[in-house]
Amino acid sequence: MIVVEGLTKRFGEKRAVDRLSFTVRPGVVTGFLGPNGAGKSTTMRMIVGLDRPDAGSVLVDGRPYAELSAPLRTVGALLDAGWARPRHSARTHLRWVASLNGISPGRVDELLRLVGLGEVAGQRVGTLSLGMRQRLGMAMALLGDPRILLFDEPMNGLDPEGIRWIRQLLRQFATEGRTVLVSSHLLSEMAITADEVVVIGAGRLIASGPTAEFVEHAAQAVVVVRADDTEHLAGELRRAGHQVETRPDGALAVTGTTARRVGQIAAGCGEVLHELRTDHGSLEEAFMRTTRDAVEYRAADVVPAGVEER
Amino acid sequence: MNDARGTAVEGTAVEGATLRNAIAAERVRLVAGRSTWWCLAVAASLALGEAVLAVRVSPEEGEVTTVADVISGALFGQLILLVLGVLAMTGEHRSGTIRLAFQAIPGRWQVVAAKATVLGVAGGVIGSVFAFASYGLAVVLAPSGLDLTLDTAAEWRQVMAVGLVYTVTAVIGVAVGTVVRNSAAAISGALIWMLVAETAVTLIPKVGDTLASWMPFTVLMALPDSAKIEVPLGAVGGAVYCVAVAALLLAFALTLVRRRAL
Repeated sequence: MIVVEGLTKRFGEKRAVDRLSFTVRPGVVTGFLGPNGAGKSTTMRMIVGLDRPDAGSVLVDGRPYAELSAPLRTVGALLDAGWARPRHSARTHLRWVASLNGISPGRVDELLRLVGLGEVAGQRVGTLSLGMRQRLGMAMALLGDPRILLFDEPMNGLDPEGIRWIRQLLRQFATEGRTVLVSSHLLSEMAITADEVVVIGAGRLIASGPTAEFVEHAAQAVVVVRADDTEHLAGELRRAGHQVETRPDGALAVTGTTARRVGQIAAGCGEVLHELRTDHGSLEEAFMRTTRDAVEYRAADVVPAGVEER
Repeated sequence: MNDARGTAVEGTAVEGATLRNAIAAERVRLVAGRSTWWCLAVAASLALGEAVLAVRVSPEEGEVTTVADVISGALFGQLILLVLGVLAMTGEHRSGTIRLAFQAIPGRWQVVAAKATVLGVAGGVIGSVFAFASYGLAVVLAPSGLDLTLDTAAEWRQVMAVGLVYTVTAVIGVAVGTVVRNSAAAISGALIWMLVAETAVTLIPKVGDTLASWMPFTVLMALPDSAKIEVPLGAVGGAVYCVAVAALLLAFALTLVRRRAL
């Protein structure tokens, strides 16, 4: 369990993280989403004590990170797979990290095998491919068999097989009852991996909760319909008070209604339908819709206050 | 009351374990680092090479090879210890691994203290080994008639001081590398201090000479030197003074690393 409470971090004038509060529950994968510069990495760094908050607090399993006696046994984090000495072998790198918290060298070899790096354990970290380094980072995060796991963009630069591997691991950790917080820009990937999401923009919380609920609330459902005479049907729909858009492919997109209602109207005016379905919206759409304001808010910062519309 | 004391005791135990772990981790680093072994090999060959040259190549007319000449090659290693000490910290910053260390040890100061301990102890041992090895080699190779017996306190002081020179320099290196986090800046800064600034102090009018005799590396390097000790506090006082300077610099670095943002 991670409890973030009123977390604030300023870099000069800019508030990178602004009174941010959310909770990450055990047993589920929580996606940490936000546009570039929203404060995701800064927040993760504050969770593991690398950056000091200007205000607010973070509790991991009920305690401040700095009070953990062997933190790697409670929180495993992969924040940047590039943090390694390029001339050291993969095994030496892990042994060093392990010994920092008194974790046995046997555990190092066990994990190297687990992430599929047993063969290259003696190879210099600098010669490993990006995918292998991500695997090495994954092994590092798991060294202390921690109850809480943090990953910052773990899928960046991975091939489809690597992405699938990470997805399955994340699911497995959640099933084992661990707390998993993972940030990613791959929204289609998060849609299938994350049970819950925490969405932030410009350092502030935009939404947090189950992924399905977030999508349902934030992305508007759209009824897509095709007919013999689309123009005619569009006119009828508008007359009935619906908002209708013609898509480039000729289909009509009707918002604020149900497929049933559109079908009734079509039947009423004798139109033959070729297609009628409800588009429930995607995580991407929900994300774009909710974070747009946060992005605009920053862009609008330079506009004088008086110009703002009320 | 009892609870509070229990927590305090537990806290101290945890602190101790943390420092021990940090030291263990630092040993992994030092042993695995290729540069460590290269540096040692270079320092060893300089030390032993100079010992051979000192006894086999005839000195100038009227001069006799002394114990100080024999061990002077071991003093090149001081520069190597300085660089190793600095890089121990700046290298972690360059590769980003300092963040992993601080993640594992949020108190942070133990990371620096462990580096100073490991390099300081290793430096002391290696320096002494080099000094006695150089001396032993010189005795074996010495031409007949050259007396290198350690029969004065000054000669013992000269040989024993090499270990101290290595230890003090390594600890100062770690402190400098902690304060100045960039490798190039920290190394050139430390070298300028050691090789230029300490002598340049004499240029200051009136107080220059007095000041120069108190410069830490000047005092330190007088200890293994043949000249009659002229440092302000004598040989033992000089040694204590150098250790105190290194300890103060390290204490400053430990305080800084706890407070400063990454």
